Amino acid sequence: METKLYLKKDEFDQKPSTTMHVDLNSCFASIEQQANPKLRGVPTIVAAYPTDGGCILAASVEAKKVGIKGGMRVKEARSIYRDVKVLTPDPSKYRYVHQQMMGVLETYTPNVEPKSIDEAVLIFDSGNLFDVGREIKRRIKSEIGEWLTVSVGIGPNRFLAKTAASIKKPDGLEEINFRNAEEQLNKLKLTDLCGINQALKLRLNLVGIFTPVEFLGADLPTLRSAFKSVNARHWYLRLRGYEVDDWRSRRRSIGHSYALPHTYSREEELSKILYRLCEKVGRRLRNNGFEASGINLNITYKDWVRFQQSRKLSQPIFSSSDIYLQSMKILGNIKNLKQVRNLAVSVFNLSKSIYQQQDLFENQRKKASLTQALDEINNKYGEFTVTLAPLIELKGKILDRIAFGGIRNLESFT
Amino acid sequence: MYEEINEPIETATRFKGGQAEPLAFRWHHSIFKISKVNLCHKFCTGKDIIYSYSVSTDNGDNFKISFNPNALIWTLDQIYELNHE
Repeated sequence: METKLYLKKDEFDQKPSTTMHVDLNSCFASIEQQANPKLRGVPTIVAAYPTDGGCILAASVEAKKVGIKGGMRVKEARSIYRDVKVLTPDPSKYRYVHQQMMGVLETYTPNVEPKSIDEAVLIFDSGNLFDVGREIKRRIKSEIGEWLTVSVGIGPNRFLAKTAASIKKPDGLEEINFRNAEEQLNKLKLTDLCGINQALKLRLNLVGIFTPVEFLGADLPTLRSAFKSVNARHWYLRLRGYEVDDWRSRRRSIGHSYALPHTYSREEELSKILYRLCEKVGRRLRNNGFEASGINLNITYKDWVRFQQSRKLSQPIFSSSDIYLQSMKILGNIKNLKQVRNLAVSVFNLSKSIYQQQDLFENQRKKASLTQALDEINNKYGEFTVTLAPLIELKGKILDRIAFGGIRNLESFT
Repeated sequence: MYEEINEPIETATRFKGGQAEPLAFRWHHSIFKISKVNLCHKFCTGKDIIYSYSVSTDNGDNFKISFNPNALIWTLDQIYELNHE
């Protein structure tokens, strides 16, 4: 590997492009337009809430053309285009389309890695990937929905394939290889590259790199002075087509967050929302066969100031009620609770669960049996069929949402 | 944007090739002929699998209807309406 340390720009990996990145364009918004033809051709957004403060999760191609972007607030979108159509998310639709898309992709290679709800990477041994890309685009339209388009990128590694997919949106089909890398990268800005945010852009600027082509041409010492970490070498290789991103992260935590429709400051109100979050976290923890020895509570106040506190636990926990009790201990200790706009709870230090072991102490065994019985009832009749009495009024209040970049738990919703 | 209805409906359905295809439904004494299923997806409510259909009708209206094969019930879930019509 040492020989790769001082690769020149022309020492690009010259193997054929065998990696494909498929990205469903404007995913949530396009799926809503597929479901309702009256929305087609009209700027449409999917937002966490339809109210002015709702955060935009997806903007249709038409909305993007008038300047509306994901992450904006609904009010801002309306100020750009008064008649923008505002929808709230329907996650079951999006999960189903994701599964349908994966079904199409898996007919081409067994090596398909979903990267998020709307993206997947396909690894091939060889072949004409342009033909495969064209066929995938056609099949997604004919088998899933005629309004759905994907941008397909082809490259020698995951990064360049993803970068190629971003060159033309919507409905693109592009390749980046050792012959055209400069020409293709010349169409992009530094921050268009996945992994380069504003802070990293500034670091690159400080060493004289202002464009992706200059980034590609930079030698390793220059990149080291910018990144000051092993990331310099990773970027050096990544830009030249060598694969450095073929790892899968191990799950380290499980969490849920909730952006409140209006701000709360009373502990009594927040505790009810918190229980629902803890129940969701607990269900996922147990479904994945884990228990946890750490808990984290994260609160964002109305003024965007954040509070977060973690606790390591002496005994691992698996039941929703224990997760709730531990998170309430943190919440209860907060002095001068302000207006809360976002609440998040997560558990960490995950380990293989003792939940179903037979050799538990009596009190643990009773708790495990009770938790298992409650899980079975909720599995059969739906989430929150059994819940704490004071929380019945909250049924359905914590809405189903899809995490950005999260696909680990899609299988649990099929 | 969308009006929630959640009322049971009578639906004429074609069962073919392991799939249920709604052809027309009756709601409030009106019959709506379905011209196109724009999107069909399924989801779970407990152990029940629900099939959800986003459909257009002959007169250009758009609805979301769903079928619970366990209970053999069709439901009109939503009427799609545009904001400023």
